[in-house]
Amino acid sequence: MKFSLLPESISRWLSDKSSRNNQFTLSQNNIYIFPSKMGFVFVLLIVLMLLTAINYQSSLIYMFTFFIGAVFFVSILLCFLNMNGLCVSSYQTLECFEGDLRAHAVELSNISESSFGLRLGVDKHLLNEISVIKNTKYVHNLLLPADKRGLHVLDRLRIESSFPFGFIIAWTWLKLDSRVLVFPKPIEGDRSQYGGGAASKGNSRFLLEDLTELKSYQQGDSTLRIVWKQLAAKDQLIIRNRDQGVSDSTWLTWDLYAASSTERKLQHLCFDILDIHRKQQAYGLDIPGVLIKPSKGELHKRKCLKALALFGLDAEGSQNG
Amino acid sequence: MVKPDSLKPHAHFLSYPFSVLLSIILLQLLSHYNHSPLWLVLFTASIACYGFFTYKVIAKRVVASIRTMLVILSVGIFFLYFKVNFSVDMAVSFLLLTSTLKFLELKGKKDVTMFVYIMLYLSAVSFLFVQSFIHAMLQFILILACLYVLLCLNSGHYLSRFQAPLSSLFKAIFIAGPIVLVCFLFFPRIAPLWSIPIKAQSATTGMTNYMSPGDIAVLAQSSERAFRATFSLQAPEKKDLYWRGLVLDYFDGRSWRSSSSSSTHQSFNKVDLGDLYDHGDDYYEVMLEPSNQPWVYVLEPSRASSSNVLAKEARQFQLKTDAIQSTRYKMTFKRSVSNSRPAIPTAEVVQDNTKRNGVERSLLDDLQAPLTSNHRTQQYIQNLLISFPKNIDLINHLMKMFSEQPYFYTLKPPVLGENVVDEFLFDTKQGFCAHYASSLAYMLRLANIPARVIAGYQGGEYNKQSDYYIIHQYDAHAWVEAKLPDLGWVRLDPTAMVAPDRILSGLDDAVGEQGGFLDGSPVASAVLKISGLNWLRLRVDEFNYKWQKLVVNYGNDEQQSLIKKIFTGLFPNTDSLLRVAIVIGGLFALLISMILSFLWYKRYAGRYSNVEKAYLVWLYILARLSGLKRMTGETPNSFLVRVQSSSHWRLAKITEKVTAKLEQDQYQI
Repeated sequence: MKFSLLPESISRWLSDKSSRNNQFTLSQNNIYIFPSKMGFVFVLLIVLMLLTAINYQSSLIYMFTFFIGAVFFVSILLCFLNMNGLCVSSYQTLECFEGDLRAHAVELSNISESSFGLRLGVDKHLLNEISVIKNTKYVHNLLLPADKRGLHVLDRLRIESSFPFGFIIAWTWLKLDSRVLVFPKPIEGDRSQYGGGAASKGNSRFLLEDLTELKSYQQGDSTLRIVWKQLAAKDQLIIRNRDQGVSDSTWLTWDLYAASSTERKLQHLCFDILDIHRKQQAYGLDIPGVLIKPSKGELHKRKCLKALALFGLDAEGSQNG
Repeated sequence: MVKPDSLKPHAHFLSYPFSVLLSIILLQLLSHYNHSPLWLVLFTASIACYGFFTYKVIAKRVVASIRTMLVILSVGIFFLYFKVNFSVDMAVSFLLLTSTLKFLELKGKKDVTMFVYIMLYLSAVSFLFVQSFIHAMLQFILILACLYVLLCLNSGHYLSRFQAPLSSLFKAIFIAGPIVLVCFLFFPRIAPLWSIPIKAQSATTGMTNYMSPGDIAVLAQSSERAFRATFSLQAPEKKDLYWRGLVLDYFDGRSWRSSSSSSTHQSFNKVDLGDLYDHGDDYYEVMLEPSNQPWVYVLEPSRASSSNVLAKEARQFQLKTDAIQSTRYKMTFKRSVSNSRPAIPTAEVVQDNTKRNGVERSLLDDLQAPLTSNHRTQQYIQNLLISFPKNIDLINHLMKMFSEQPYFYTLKPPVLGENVVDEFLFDTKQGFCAHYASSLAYMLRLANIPARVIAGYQGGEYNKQSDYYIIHQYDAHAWVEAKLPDLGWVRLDPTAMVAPDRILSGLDDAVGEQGGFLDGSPVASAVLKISGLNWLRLRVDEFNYKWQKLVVNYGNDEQQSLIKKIFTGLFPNTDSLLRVAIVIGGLFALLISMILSFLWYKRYAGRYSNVEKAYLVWLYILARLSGLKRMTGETPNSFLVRVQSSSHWRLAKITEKVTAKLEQDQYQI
């Protein structure tokens, strides 16, 4: 769709050499500018008008042509100034699961000028149109498909704008340091046939009901630990005690699953972690190379999921896209 | 990958400023209204409104089948009407029609952009047909509307917040202004490359190349401008302003026609601005209104000083091409002190025997006279020739006859029958200038004196404020030229004998109470009579004339003389080589300084806010005044303390204020 000639490839090559950064301010160092396709058509129009003016010796058509031409040239300047001073930084990002859309939050602001008609995207795909008004901050979530687990680093972020008249297009490639951790897709796996699993699951639930130490709720305690049944019975908030017996924990091990492929196993593991976490039971993870002792809570869950996400990959910058 | 367009299919569609697009079409129709067929204007306007209505009110696009039907219908009618004679006005009509049809199905951003481009081109082309100031303003508004649409397409979803993007539109125009001016003044004008006729067919106005008795009286109904003229030196007296147009030398017993015209003239209607020549200080410039005819009007004796005017036989001049636009030409006077003045009332020697210029022609052509009708006149001349054997006496007698006998000058002469000259001379004795000129020339030819009728204009309205003459259609006139053996060609005006007022003050006074003057245009005659309105009319005319002279007809010659003026004005005492060096050097320095300042601006534009900039500027001034410099890493506040502790208490006060502003700016948001 866009005009892709030499300047485009040069800008791409230059951005490859630049380092990854957390924050960019756009200036003449990283803004590239070139006539758009419609801009070339417009130049053709100007030439046509000029020919008409010459042929019919009409000074008014000359004037008209010069006016249109001058607007074209001024739009080069305006197009640059529109992008100039735009501050782009990566914002805190969220994790997501494989198959969802991962959101790279990008914060945009401009103190010197408003920036209109910006289109944000990665590699010319999924360009979203936004405008940044002077002195306001704007957080934009770039939604990209997360088709693989792992740590995804935002590839070249492209910001382009054809403001004001669409004759000229200014763009920039930024290697913004924005990472999203993508966990394996949770898929329910069958692990009951591998002995002990189902039983221990049943047992643990049984044990859980009995052995959990209960105490009354105090401010500051996690609402996740409230025993709602007790609320119905006794009309007071009762929570489970923090330190629970390790005995009722589940070990999620690599050999527990029948699935042949590594990815499938990871997906099953992920499902079970989420499942057990929801049931507020303790669990440990034992997969090749990683051993996480049984525990529970958000942090523990995240630790386990991260281990799954990064399983078999090196921790830093494993996935681009 | 999911395409964003599929996520929100109508988001783009809705964001078009649809009503602006409609108004662009309607404005376009208005500016092409004059030279497009009426059916086309009405048809396109209704199609556009229909499309707008269905979109805005019913919130739908026009159904595809109806669109197809409209396309077939309009293209069909178009080719039935225009056939296939290619000309610019046909192309314009076609563009108007097709772009309006496209308006019904604008889809993407690209569609709208192309539509706007076509509209811009149509605007530019409209200047081929109309060049008035009002029209130019209309086109300016059209450009603004077109740019506004483009702006809306490219400024994201901020359509509701008009102000901000709109300000960049005005910024663009503001910066573009000086560029336009410089380009317009100094862009070299190049000769035409090829030509396509502008209009396929066009109605002519003003003079025609034949004249029946009563023809010129029709022009007296029109207050339209024929041309305007500016004199470099003293203009001739009003009674001597005989604007010579066509030589009518063939008489068929009823009407006079030009025997030579149109045969050599290429009536291909293209534009030729022409170059001006310098043939001396004593010249006049004429701005001819578009008449779609090649005739030019000149005073005697003069020579052509612009290349778009050709000298023809019998001291006639003609344009190389038809005057389809207002056309400017320059003529230089060859005033010579006339030593011989014929003893005939009103007569003026216009070309004496000694000088010959232009193409000479046989005198026999000027003696042609049909003998099949007007027998009474023939008899009358035969008798006169006996009593007045000398040419000069005969002419004198005939001229005096018009004033002594009860001839009557009127715009409403009685209708004449078969023998036009007979009936006019001996029966009705009432006529307009065409009657008098026609009969006098016929009589002279019968008396074996070479004679011909000249059609042109006489007199003109003087605009005191700007020192130029306006010649209207009602100033149209006809007179006679006769050749006397010892004097050469002599101008004779029988009308001046009958109604001296016509020549001295104008038609209005000459016709007076009996009416007939400007009967066709009551508004114009009313304006002439109310002094306030008349004053206003003259001012408007003045403005239009200036617009035409300075802008519309700004060509190669104007450009050269302007450059020359600037050169000599700036450096009166330097030689030309040095001047060129200075100008080139100056332009170069200007360019470099522009680039440098732009780079500087780019470097700092995005980095600091306005308050920060002001603070930095103050720091610079402070360093200059007192030598106090802020260290790297020193905060504004600690620097302030240091300034305050120094001896410059005045500067410290300002620094305090500036620092406070800075603090406010930095920490409030």
